[in-house]
Amino acid sequence: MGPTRVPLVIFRALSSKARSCVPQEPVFRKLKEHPRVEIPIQTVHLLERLSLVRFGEAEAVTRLEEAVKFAQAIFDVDTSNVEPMHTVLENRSVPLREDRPQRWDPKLVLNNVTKMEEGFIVAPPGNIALKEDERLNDLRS
Amino acid sequence: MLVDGIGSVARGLAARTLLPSEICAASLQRIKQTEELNAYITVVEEKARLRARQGDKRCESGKILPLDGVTIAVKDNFCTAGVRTTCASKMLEDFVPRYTATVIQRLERSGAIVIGKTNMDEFAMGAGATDSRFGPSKNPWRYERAGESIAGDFYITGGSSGGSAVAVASGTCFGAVGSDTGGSVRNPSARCGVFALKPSYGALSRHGLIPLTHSLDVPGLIGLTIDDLALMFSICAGVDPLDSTTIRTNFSGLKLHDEPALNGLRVGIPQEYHCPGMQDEVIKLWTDVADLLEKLGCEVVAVSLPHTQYSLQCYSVLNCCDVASNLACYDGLEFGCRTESMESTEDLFAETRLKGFSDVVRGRILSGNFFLLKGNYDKFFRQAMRLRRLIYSDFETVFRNVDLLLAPVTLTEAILYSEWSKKDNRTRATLEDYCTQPANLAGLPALSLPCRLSRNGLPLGLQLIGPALSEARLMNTGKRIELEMDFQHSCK
Repeated sequence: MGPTRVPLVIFRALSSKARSCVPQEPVFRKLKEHPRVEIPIQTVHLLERLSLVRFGEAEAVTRLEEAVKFAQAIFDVDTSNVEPMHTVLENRSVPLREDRPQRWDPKLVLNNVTKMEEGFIVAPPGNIALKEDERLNDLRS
Repeated sequence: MLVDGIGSVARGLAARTLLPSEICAASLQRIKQTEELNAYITVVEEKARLRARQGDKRCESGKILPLDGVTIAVKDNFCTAGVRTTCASKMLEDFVPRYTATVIQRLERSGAIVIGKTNMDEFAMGAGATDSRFGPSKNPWRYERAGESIAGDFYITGGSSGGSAVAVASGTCFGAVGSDTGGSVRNPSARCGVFALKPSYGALSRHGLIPLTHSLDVPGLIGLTIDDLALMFSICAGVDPLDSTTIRTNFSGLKLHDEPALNGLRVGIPQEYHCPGMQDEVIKLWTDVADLLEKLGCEVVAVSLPHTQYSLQCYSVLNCCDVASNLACYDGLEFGCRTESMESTEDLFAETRLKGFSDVVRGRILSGNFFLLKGNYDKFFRQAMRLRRLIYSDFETVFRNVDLLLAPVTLTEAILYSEWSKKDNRTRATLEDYCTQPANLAGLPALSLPCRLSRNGLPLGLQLIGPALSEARLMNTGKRIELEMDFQHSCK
């Protein structure tokens, strides 16, 4: 599986124009240092409800804070008078297909359902808000 | 047999010295031999053999299709009817879709034989093919010698389409389909020594590709030669009524020149792509190929894409916001993993998603919903979209003066797994996707080319980036570099 032959490419040692186009040192402006972000516990609970995802552990909140800190670099760019870009196809017409019903065997569609009864998907009672994960309160305090 | 490209298959079938079923058997055997590399999540042996036999019949009757006998591997985030499609997640571990993604359908209609579904980072979130429910994929290069200091160590493949790149690099198939949202086909291909095309946004249908970020995702192609990429691309491209973001293109019958001439081609060297942490050998290769292009008659000039260094931060917001919405459908009811909880619907959803998603995936959902909070929406989400326009405009400006850009793909050669696993998923992405992400934000085609081996004996690659729908010029130029560099594939 290992390589058997190392290709040898020899270039004439010329100081050509192309050679000087490739920067030999990094071209990089140092990013502004943004302060640490602290996400209040109420927001943590709100995000769990909105996401229907549990942080599960305190480190997950720290990871979110780091992700937000990282993203803040976008504040450093002046975007006044710049319109948000949703898609690169913004100047093309993208026709929608006709909304025509297609025949599918319901059995095939429901093939991946774990819990079914008499042709219905079984779900637990609705309209009950997700309970707050109290463990997070302790971990964050 | 599996390392000479699709052209050799077509010749073999036409000369009747080869049959699709023989190629299929060889592919399946090779998969068994290279099992340790963990390139595949699911091998579809029975179905592949059946399709190969249908190919045999066509060959016997002289009605050979362009991809008859061509075995391909498909990243496990493309739906394949009747074959489980997991996204390398516990959430979809047992998910069997009822339909096949358009690109796969088009390849199959041209005779291609799907032999398996390949490993990836969970939901394509990663740059190593190491964050998979099914364990990491391993780079075939230097495989035996990687574990010299730490037993069982290996070089990472790059990602997220790592399994697809390994499948081609280790000679189990002729081509592979991956997806590219931030560099996910170019990165592993550069590290595994194979060619990859990330097409223009909208050139290939995304129908049946499980979405990561709708406005950035594109199906990508991986192959042993650029001619093979061109053939697969010409077969897959074009409007699909099932994906309203596909655009009219004119790539059917696309054929590259035998020895493409590059006289007068204007090639830009984007200065900002030399970022901190880039390996000296990558810079050297970049410089040498710039020289080579000049020698071949190109006009090579330095260009600037000033917003490059904000691309990853911009992407981190857009990606998480899309993820928060795209992954909302995984609740355990209609499909996928489901926990026992019967307390309430919301509790079932939350518990299922805690169990079914890794912490990386959950982290991106939570971040996305944070950026989308009423008070953050303009500050983060809309600001990221404004920044995206500036990055897009950078490219628009340079393409008034140059035809193509030449740039690195990854900052370094493949890294040892023991080193790689010291950093978390997000930190890695900020290093890994630096040179690849901007092309996604701008919807541009890019071609990743393996060029030579490093001192360590690992592949090093470069990429060409072109204006939207410039795939023909991109691949012709790439083919000339391919001919000149004569990179020797690992399995030859």
